[in-house]
Amino acid sequence: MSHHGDPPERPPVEALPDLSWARLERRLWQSLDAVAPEPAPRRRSWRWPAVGAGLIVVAAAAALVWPRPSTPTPGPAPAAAVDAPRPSRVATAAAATDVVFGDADIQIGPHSTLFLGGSDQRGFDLYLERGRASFEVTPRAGRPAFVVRAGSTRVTVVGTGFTVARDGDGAQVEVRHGLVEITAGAARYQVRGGEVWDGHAVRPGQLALVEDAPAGSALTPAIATAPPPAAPPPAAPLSSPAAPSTVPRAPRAAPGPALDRKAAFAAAAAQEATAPDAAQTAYLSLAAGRDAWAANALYAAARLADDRGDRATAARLARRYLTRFPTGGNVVDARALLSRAAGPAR
Amino acid sequence: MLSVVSRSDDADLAVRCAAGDRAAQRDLFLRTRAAVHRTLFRVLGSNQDIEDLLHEVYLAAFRSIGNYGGRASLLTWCCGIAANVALSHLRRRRTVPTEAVDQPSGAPGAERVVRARIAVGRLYAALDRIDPVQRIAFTLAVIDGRALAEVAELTGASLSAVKTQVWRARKALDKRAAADPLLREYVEELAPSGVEEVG
Repeated sequence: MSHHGDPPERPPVEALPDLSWARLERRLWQSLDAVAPEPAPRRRSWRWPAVGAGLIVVAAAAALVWPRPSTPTPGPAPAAAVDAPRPSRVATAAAATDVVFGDADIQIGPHSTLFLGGSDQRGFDLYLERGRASFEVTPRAGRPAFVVRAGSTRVTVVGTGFTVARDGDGAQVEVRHGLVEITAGAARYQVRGGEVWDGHAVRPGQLALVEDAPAGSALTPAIATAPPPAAPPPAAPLSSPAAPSTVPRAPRAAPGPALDRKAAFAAAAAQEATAPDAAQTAYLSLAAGRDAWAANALYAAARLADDRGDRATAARLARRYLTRFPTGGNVVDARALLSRAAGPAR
Repeated sequence: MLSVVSRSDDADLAVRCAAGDRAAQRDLFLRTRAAVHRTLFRVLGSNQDIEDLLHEVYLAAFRSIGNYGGRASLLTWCCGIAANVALSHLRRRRTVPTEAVDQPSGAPGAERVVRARIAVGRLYAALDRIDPVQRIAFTLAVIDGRALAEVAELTGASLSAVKTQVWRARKALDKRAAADPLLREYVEELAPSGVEEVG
C-alpha cells in the first residue's frame, strides 16, 4: 500500500442495496404506525392488498349475509356478534385463487365463494357458500379454533390439510393429512388423513375433485349443480376493518415466457417499497409456475412477508418453498427464514 | 451527496415530522439516510446488522424529533443518533470476534486492492478490541476523515475529549499492529503520527 504520492486510501463504504433500503423503509413506517398514538391512519391496505384478476373480495355487505356460527340452517344470516369484525367474502370466477388467512393457506376453487371471519383472538370462522376450498392449517394446539362451515356441516380443524366441497345443504370433506372433526346435525365424525366424509359416513378415499377444473366440468355432482353466476359479482372497496392478515394471491395462471417472468420478477421487486401488497401479489402469481422464477418469487414472497412482520405467512411460504423446491437456490435462506419466522417473537 | 438545507427548513421539517407527517418523515429519511448509513458503516466496518441499526436510528429520530432544538442541522442530528446507536450496539455486542489478526505472510499476493481489503479487515478486527468510545472517535475522525469538531458535535463530547479518544485509539492500534506490518502500514497511511492534531 505504500504507493508514494498516492493519497491515503479510505476503505470504501459498501452501498446498501436498493432492496435493503426499500425493506428498511417499509419496516420503519410499519414500526411508526404500530406506535402511533392515534389509530386513525391505520394502513389497512397493508393487510388488504390489491386483488388479482378473477378474485373478488367483498366486505361491505358481508355483515348482512354472514351466517351465525351455530345456525343449523344453511345460507346467510346476520352477523354473529356486534363486536366481531365483519367477515370478508372471497368469490372466484373461472380461476382458482390462493389466500392466506390468519395462519391458514387456502386455495379457493373456481366459481366458489368463501367468507372469512374471525380473528387471531377469537378464532377463525369461515363459511363456504358455494364451490370448494382446500385448506392447510397449522395444528391448533394452543391456537385459536379454526372452523369451516358449509351449509349445515361444521368442520373443526385440529391441524390438517383438507378440502371442503359444498353438497346441497351440506358438504363433503376430504382430509389429506391430519385430523378434523365434523359436526353435522347432532352427529360428530372424526376424519383423518386419507379419509373422506361424504355427508353421511367416513370412508377411505378422495373426493372426486379435479384441481382447478372449471365449474361443471369434472366436479362432483354437488358442485356441478351449483352453477356459477352469469357474471362475477362486482368488487367492493376493500374496507374490512379488523380482520386478520389476509393475503390474496393472484389467480393461478400459466407462466409466461421466461423473459417476461424475469421482467415481472424485477417489477415486483421494484414495487416492494412503494406497493408491497402489489409486490406480494405479483410474487405469488409468479410462484404459481414451475420454473426458476417461480422458485425465486415464492421465496421472495416469504421474505417479503417476513419483512412486513407477518411471520406466520412467512413461515408458511418458506415451508411451501422448501416443499416445492427442495433443491432451489434459496433453500438455505428459506430454512433460515423458516427458523426465524417460526421461532420466538422478535 | 447531501442536500443543502437551511436551518429554518430543518426546523420546519422537524415540526412536520413530529406531527406525524409521513411525507415529511420520508423526506427526512431520504435526505439523511446516506450520511447515516455512512456513519454506521465507518464505525462498524461492514453492513452486517446495519439494517437493524438504521431502523433503530430512524425510529429513535422520529420518536424524539419533537426535541430537536435546531442547534445542529438535522443531518448532523441524525448522524449523532447514529453514533449513539452504534455505541450502544458495540457495547451490547458481547462476543468479540475471536480470530486473531492474520499473519501478514498469509496475504494472498501483492495486488493493491486485495491488500487494502485485508488491511481493512485487520483494522476492524483490531478496533473490535478497543474501547467503543475510542473506536467511534477514531473511525469518524480518521477513517471517515471528519473534523474533530464535527466528531465532537456528533458524539456530544468536548473537542479535547475527542482528541484524547482518537489518540488513545491510535495507541491501542499501534500496539496491535506491532506484529502486523500490513496493518501498521495501513494505519500509518490513514492516520499519520500526530493524528490528534487533525481537525
